[in-house]
Amino acid sequence: MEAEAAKMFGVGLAALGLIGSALGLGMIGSGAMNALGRNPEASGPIGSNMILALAFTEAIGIYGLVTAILLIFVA
Amino acid sequence: MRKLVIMGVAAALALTGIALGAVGAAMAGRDPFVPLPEVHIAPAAIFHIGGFAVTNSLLSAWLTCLVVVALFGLGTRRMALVPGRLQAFLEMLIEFLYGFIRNVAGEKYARRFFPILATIFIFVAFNAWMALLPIYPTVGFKPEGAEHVTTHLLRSAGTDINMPLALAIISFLFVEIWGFKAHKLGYMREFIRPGGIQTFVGILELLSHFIRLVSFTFRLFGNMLAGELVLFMMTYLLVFLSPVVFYFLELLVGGVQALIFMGLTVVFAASAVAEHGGHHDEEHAEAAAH
Amino acid sequence: MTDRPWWVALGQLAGVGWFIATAIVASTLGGLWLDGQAGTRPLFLLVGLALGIATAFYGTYRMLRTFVESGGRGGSR
Repeated sequence: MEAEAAKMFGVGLAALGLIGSALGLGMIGSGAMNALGRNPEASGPIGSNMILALAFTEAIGIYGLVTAILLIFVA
Repeated sequence: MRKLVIMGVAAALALTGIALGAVGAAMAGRDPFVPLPEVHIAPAAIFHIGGFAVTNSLLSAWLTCLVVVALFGLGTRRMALVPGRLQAFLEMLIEFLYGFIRNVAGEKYARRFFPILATIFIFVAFNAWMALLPIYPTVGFKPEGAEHVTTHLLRSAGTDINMPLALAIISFLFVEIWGFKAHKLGYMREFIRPGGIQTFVGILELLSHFIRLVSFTFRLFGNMLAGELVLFMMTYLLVFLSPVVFYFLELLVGGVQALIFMGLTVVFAASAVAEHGGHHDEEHAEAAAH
Repeated sequence: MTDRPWWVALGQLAGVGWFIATAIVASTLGGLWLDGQAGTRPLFLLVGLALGIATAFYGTYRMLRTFVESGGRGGSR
């Protein structure tokens, strides 16, 4: 395989890591909806804590993106 | 029954749009109805004042300023205790922004932070929302012999990297100024910390302040440019009705990006003016132990 | 726990992921540029990567601290 093609495969594989982040985001959303259904009065804290969890799950997904970008520029 | 008719008409329109667009054209094997949009990263200069090029993104920034000033001028010209529609909308906006800033920065600093941060929010949001008006992608100049407009008279200022960079520098400078105001020269102790691992933390702090600049700039620029490209490409592919979905998305993105720009600036400002605590306590304890 | 409205949390935290990304990418590319100037590849590249990751975590920690500290201030309405 050519080196350039192998690099591009690596970029794609690195970006595949976003799957995990996406699954995590979905699970957080479903968990928050569950909590909201059980306890509708607590919508304020649930929403704000859900966004806290969302932000950090998204940040983990960003690692895959960063790896892909750095592979393009550096490798 | 009426609902059904409306839905049928909408579906027919959307299907016609898809058939007329690039997707349908490729299937039918003819030229697309709408030409492939040209993508420019750099803004185009419209005219020159001396050696200063007035670009289309700068024009749209001026237009946004004018519209915002006119809107607020009109809305607050006859202030009434029972507000009219425009005044009520502006009051809602201002209350929302003030509530946000007070929530993050606390009552003490909210009044000091409010003017510049609200201005940033209103400018970014209105600039993004006004770019969805149909005059933006249609009005412009046509070179000799060209079929359609290639140089637009107006272009959302967020899609020109200079505007996000300028806003990021403004936000960076104000955060530092507020930090120095709150702690006087003691603010420098955020960056220059004595002793082993703390020196390293100081370097990280300094570095993170500059990373914020880059982060702010590219977030706004990337989102605005990507939004414009999505609209162009969707209009090219689907012609009409279906791109409306993406217009709604861009409406959301404009507001959210403005909110994030303002929100992060408040967060950084609040963290710059915060009373010394946490790791500073350790530092004091260390100094006392020596 | 807190009674802050969700949009305040959104405004405070939605930028964290992008901050991490820019911190790592910008410092690594800065290191790469320094390497190109000094001809010492991959010394500054690795230094930039390490500094970038450290800055990303430190900046996240600062933002999170502000978020937690501003928790007890109550809603806007």
